[in-house]
Amino acid sequence: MLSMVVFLPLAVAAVLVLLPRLSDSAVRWIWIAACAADLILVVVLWLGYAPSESGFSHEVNRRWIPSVSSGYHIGVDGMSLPLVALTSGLFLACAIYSARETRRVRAFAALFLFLETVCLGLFVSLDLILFFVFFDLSIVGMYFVIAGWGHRDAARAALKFFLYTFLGSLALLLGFIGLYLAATPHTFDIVELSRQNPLAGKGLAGALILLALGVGLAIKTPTVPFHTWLPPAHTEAPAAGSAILAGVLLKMGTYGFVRIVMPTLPDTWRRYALVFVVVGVISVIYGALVALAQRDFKRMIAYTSVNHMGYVILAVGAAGLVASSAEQARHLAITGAVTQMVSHGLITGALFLLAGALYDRGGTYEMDSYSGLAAQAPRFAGLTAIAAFASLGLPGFSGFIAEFQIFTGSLGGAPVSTAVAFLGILITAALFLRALQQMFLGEHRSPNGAFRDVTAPEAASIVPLLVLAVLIGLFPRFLLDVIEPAARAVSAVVGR
Amino acid sequence: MELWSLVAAPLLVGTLLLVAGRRANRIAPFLGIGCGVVVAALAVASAIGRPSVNAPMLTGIPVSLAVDELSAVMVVTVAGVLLAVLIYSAGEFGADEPRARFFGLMLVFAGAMLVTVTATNLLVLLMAWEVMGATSYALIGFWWRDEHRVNSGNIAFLTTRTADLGLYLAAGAMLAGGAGGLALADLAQLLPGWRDAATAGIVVAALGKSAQLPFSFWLSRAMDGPSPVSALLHSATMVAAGAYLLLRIQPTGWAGVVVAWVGALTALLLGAVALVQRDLKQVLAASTCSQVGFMVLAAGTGGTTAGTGQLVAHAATKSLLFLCAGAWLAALGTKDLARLRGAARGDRVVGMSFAVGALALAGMPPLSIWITKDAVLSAALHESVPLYLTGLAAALVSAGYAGRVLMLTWSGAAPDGKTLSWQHKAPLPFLAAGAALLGFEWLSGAVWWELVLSGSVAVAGIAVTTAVVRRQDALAGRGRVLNRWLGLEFVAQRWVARPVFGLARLLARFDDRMIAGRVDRGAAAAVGLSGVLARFDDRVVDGGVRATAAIGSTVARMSEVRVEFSLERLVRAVTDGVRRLGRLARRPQTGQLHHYYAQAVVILVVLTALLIVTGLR
Amino acid sequence: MTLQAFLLLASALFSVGLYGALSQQSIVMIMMGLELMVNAVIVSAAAFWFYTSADRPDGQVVVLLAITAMAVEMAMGFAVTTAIFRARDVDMTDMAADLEG
Repeated sequence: MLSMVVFLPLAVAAVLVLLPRLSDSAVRWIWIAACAADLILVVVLWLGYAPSESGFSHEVNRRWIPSVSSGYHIGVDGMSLPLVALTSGLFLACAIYSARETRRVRAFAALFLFLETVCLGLFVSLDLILFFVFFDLSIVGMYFVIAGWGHRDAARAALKFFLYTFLGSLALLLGFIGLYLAATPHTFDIVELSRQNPLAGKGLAGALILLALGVGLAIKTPTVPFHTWLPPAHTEAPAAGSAILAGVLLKMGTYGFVRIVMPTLPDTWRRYALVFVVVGVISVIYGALVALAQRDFKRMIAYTSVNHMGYVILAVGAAGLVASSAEQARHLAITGAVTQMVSHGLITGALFLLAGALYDRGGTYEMDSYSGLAAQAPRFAGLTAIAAFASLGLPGFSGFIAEFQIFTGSLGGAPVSTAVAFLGILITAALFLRALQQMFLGEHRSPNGAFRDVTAPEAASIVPLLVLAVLIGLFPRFLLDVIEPAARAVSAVVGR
Repeated sequence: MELWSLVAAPLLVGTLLLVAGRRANRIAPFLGIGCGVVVAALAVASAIGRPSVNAPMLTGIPVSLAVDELSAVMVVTVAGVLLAVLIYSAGEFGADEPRARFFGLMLVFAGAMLVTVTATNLLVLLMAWEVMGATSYALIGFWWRDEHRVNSGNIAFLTTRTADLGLYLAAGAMLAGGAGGLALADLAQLLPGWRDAATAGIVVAALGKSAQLPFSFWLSRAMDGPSPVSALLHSATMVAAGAYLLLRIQPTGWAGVVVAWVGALTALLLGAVALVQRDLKQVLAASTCSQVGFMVLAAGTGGTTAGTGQLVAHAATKSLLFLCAGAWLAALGTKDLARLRGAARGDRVVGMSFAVGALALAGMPPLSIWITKDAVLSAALHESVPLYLTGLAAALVSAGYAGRVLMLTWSGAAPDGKTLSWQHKAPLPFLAAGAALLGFEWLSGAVWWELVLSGSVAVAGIAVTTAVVRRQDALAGRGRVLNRWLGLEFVAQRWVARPVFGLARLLARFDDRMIAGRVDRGAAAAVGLSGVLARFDDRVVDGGVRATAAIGSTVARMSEVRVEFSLERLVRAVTDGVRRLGRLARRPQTGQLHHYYAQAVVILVVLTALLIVTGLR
Repeated sequence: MTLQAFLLLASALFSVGLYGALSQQSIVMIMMGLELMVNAVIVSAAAFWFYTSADRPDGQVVVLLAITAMAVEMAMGFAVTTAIFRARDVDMTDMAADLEG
């Protein structure tokens, strides 16, 4: 079942590539249908979600490369299931949104379906080698998306993205090998590794492996100062590519922290948690401030991603700091971190799609080129305003649920850092209000004269994302019920 | 159940109206007023029934709402003022205006306020609190084509959100201090350090929302919204929410002293600000700060009942005054006091209602604020005499500005203007009755000499200012600092907003030049290095050559950039080193095949020698 | 014939090949030198296999691999040489210094 969820898009991609003479519209419909089918499968998976004793559901463990005891081990738990659902939902939204893409549609669709398999595979893999393979393939897939369908300076941005994140993945591989060698018997299995806790009491080795893993994941997340690949990659990527990059690919870094680093290196994590707290806070403030100074709408959103991912790093770091008595705080922090991943995926995905719609009409992302768009495009303005308020953490949207849990859970362990991080939500509020005012309010001005309101495909792709964000913001239990047991497990491991 | 419907009804109907947009412009007022009636009925029902509800939300932190004594007063007040304002708004906006957006926002706003006053834990409180801030932004910037109004909305939202950070702090501190459910009632039982942090956070948030010093300036800018918005925001909701929260947590110890003094000083200083404003709505705004200051003073001195009374009386009075100001704005097209001379003589319903409201605001016996303010002052007297005297001075000033607007609007000939619709006037008499009579509930327990004293202070204040401004409004625009709201906005712009923007721009430049630049250079150097290492491959050699060129050009580009940071010099040293290494590595690459072979042979010989030497050992 | 004799033959071949590869200017001659060196490797590998572990097939595989590699290499080399000769009428290494860094 789980393998089917993961590999269905790849199979469809193969069909798309192999079938001769498909019309563009047929390709689009097949693409949308494949994504929808996958989403339905994920919903079925969610409904049938019943974690076994190991904490995982739909677990599959097959021999793969027995000589290094690496297996095809996949399964979902409360941490991966929401991300799997987010991934398939976001890919469906991108498929619908890309209905107007006219350049090499077949390759575009195949590439996205391939990326979907890769992303789903990463979130369900319970084996380091499997994880690494998907991690690297995601970089390759996104490279082609940016280079092939991006804007003017895309090739350069894509190369930078590729080299930078590839370097990160090398560091990650180094860390994985370190973990493998430290375990007795040697294994790449994440569940087995977290059971063994192989580096307990080995100070330096643990620190070095944590460094390698930390750098590798931090580049992908990205945190300051490893974030500079992000703005050019986002600015040059096509809208759907940006949405996937920010919505799904960035989560791979933070997911790696909660899935791999915290369970397998709990002692080292506790010892160096303050480093992550500080890096997280710096990302929060730095990302927000730099975003505040941007004149380019898409670049601004890209920097707010740095800010939002900073909250996740802050939370996972603080979870390592919070004293063992504060069980609830640690638990809240980790739950908040996972919620933030989902929430950021939905909201930023929507924002990037909206930015793409803006570019389609005006041909530029420069905010100064627009003014008073609300007069001609009220629905577009309304959707952007909702997404912006969701992104700045207004209660009633998923971002608040995530950030509130992160802040409340982290304050006990790292009071000063968390208090400084509060300023992040203030600065994001300022920058979004400014952007809204510049583009939508005041006298009407737009580069190409008339400004069309949102079209049906755009609405069909963006509105569900925002509706989900509201749903999580108001009734978060359905999500938290899934996340919390897994968060409790991680929190117990880190606390032991 | 009635509590859920009480809070859900306005939120749901409001959201529906907002989503429907232009299509609902026609039915919006009916839906809005209908909802207002339902809310009022439900509010009364829950004030009698005192329900409480609970639902799970986060780990160990539920959504819990309850109506207790304080909340009961609040929900009824909020619902009453909401209904009055909604009826008025039906007259204010024509069918061609975005009524759906207006009524939708008003209902969501009121729903958030209702949640705020019934929340029993910090999670729910914070959610409603922030939604209220955001909707107030949308309401103040309602006429969004005017950049100035939008700016006012931004300022209001950002200022209150700055203060709201205190609530986030309080939530974290409560959890860390041992109150896992974040219940407001557990505040006193926290571990000492965390209790102080939580209290401080809540106090800051409340002061910000109530537009107390030093946050007062946002209220002045909030006057750019439509009049009904001012009437709702600045009477029973928003600013009252801060006072309500302080009354709810009853700060003690250092927090009590701070709160009491901030309240007293705001009452005095913003009262003085109100005295010299040229614009009627600005007078009312400043007086709101000042009157809310009395509530805050009550909260800081343990006078919860007195503070609540002041809140209710002020809610009725101030919504009445704002609606009257709005009615004049609609009829005469101005809110400039100089041009409003004699306005009250025009339409008698508006004029009489305004007079009642202004007299109540002045603290004139036997109207409501006279009694409630006296209760507040008597609570202050229990704490300290200086506080009492400051409060009394503030009361004198209040009487002064109320007397001034009263005199100005009643003297002179009635100007010509448009006739007002019945919706404009319908709510006014009811609110006037409320402003006049609501105080008697709080009469019990008052000390007679204090009542007499504050009553005569009010009369004196009115007498003095009416005498001063009868001929000519000598007070208008006096005192630059007072006239500009103590320069608070200027200070905030100059010392907070501008440095932050400056820092942001600096960091953005730093980000583009330094971090990204460093990475680019590092990447170029890496490419160069890889070219050096893989020299045997033609294409990579080409790549290496390109990389060397890239290094050269980056160095050239770097020399253009001013050497601002020593970090840059470090980067340059690194790239120079890499470049030198690259040149060195290029030397053996002659392109002559036999040279390569010779090199290979030499290396092989060395390797063999090494093998023999290590093998021998 | 002993192992030593074969190894002597191999080293002689290798030395001649090395000298040729280092001293000649013509690409064809250099490649002949290379060929001789590879032949030396093949001879020595075959001899080692025959005299040390004739019962196992590993050595034969190595020899076969070396022959294949040699054949491929030569085919490539001559193809390149022919291409250069056709393009620029050059058959001396000094005139084909494209690899200069």
